[in-house]
Amino acid sequence: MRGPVAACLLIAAFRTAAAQAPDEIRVEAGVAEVRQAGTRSRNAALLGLTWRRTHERVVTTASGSMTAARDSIDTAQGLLAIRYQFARQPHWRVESGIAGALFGLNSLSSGGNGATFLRVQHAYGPRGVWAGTAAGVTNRTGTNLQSSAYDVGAWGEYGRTSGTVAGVVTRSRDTDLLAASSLPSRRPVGPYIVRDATVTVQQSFAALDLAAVGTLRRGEGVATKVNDRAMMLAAAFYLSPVIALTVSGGRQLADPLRALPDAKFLSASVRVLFLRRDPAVLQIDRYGAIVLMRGDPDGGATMTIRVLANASARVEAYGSFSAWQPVRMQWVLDAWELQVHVPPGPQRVAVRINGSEWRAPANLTKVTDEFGGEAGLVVVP
Amino acid sequence: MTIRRLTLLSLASFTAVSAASAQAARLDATADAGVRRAVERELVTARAIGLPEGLLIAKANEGIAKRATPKRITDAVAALGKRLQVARDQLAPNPSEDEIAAGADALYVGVPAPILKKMRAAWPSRSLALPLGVLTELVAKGLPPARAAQTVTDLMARGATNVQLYALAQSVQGDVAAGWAPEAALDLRARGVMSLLPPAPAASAFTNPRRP
Repeated sequence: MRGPVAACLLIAAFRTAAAQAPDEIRVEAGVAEVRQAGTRSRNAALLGLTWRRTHERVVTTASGSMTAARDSIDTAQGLLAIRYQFARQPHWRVESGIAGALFGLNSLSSGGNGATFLRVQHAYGPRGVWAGTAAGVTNRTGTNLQSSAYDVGAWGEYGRTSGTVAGVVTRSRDTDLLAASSLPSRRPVGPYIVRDATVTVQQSFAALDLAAVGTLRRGEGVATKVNDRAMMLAAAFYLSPVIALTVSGGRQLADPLRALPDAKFLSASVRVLFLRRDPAVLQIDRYGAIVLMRGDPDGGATMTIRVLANASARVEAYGSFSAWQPVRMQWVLDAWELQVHVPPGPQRVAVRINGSEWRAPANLTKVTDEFGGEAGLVVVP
Repeated sequence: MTIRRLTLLSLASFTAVSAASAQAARLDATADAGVRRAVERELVTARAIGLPEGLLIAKANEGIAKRATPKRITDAVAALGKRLQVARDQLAPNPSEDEIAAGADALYVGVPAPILKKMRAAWPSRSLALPLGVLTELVAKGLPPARAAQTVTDLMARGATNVQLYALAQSVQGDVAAGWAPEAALDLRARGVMSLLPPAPAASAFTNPRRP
């Protein structure tokens, strides 16, 4: 009972925080039934928080998640990432940050780890590739044990279907941690290397997202192989652009660094997106499109157009700023976004999803044009 | 003398047509031939009377991007040409291109032409681009043009800054989104801005010390 109460308090606290400064906060809370091999099923409480702030070409993201099952699945994880978008090379992005985790394993001592990471992305339209590296330290017993990871991957969208292929190589000296998290038959001995290949496919319908994630693991310890595979399915049903019900189930492989155990699970949760408490921003239309303005020191303003839509949708914006030529928007964490510098004076803006009718963003004054269409009017100071 | 004048006129006319053709070349490549010809005609007229041609091309491109019919596009370009001309005349003597464009926008949403002249009288030497944009936004939001114009003009005459006018429009927008009637929101917010401004000249005559 204490779990749900704590979750409600946290949601209330973060909702209050959302009224102050952050651009967005996303909260996901739910319950899960988790079963590890050789143990009985246990109920777990899940809570995830994501905070994001956009400032010109810098996007700062902080997220945290907690899983509490009063078993070997008690974990808390945190992540802080800063992404920089190059102005002159719009297809290149650099993302860097720190990640940390705390965990408690009944079968092993509790502890934590910290890591820094760097990732370079090259995006071209709805497709792209990335390569990254991370280095970290795990501490359970007062001794620091080093770990490192490398990952490469690619993503792409084809209509309503999107997919990601990723490969991750993880090295660690904390063999006990992986052993405690793994199935008894797959426990390694000594320092190990784990190679994961993961394929994610997502299909979007009007208000429903379906996703399948498959992982193939090939690992090696000093004396034991760690070969395995797992599959997970998830569905998100959008009640509105800011509220979704999610259901997921399947099997997760042991996380060698964060002590997430190998387990079968079935979970249900509610995902809620809180926007900055601005009356204009709160008025979310069916497209959930908003325009935010931030004055530039050299005159004019940076106009940020943000659209809440499924990740696999095709989202475009156009207006007087683009001479009415459609501009493809970019997926940023959990929304479609476009930032442009606009000069002082009146500007007209419209957005559309999947080639449908052009619509005025909800927080702008709607005007009709001579061609039977509509656009939002915004005055740039 | 007559021949020389005719030659100069022909040269000027040729230059105007050539420039108009060059501007029309910036039209979307998919422009219908009829649209291209109609836009070129409007550009010749605009250049002859000193109107910003780029706005006409942008309007034509907007119609092309929105896949409007050629007739609709030519009608829209012609109507914009007329609005630009009216705005330029009402905002005389030396309106900038931004002011003319903002004035044409205001006329499009239903602001009566004489109001532009009143606003120019209130700010004879400052740019009206933002006040006109604010007025356009208020009228498009559903406020009666005369009422909105009176409020904006009063604030301008009392010395309101562009930032204050912009904030007024934003506040009214937020209030309307929250369910307020547009007139009530404008009254409330305008009183708020007014309270920050110095007294009107008539009142200050009594409060300020006078020299004998």
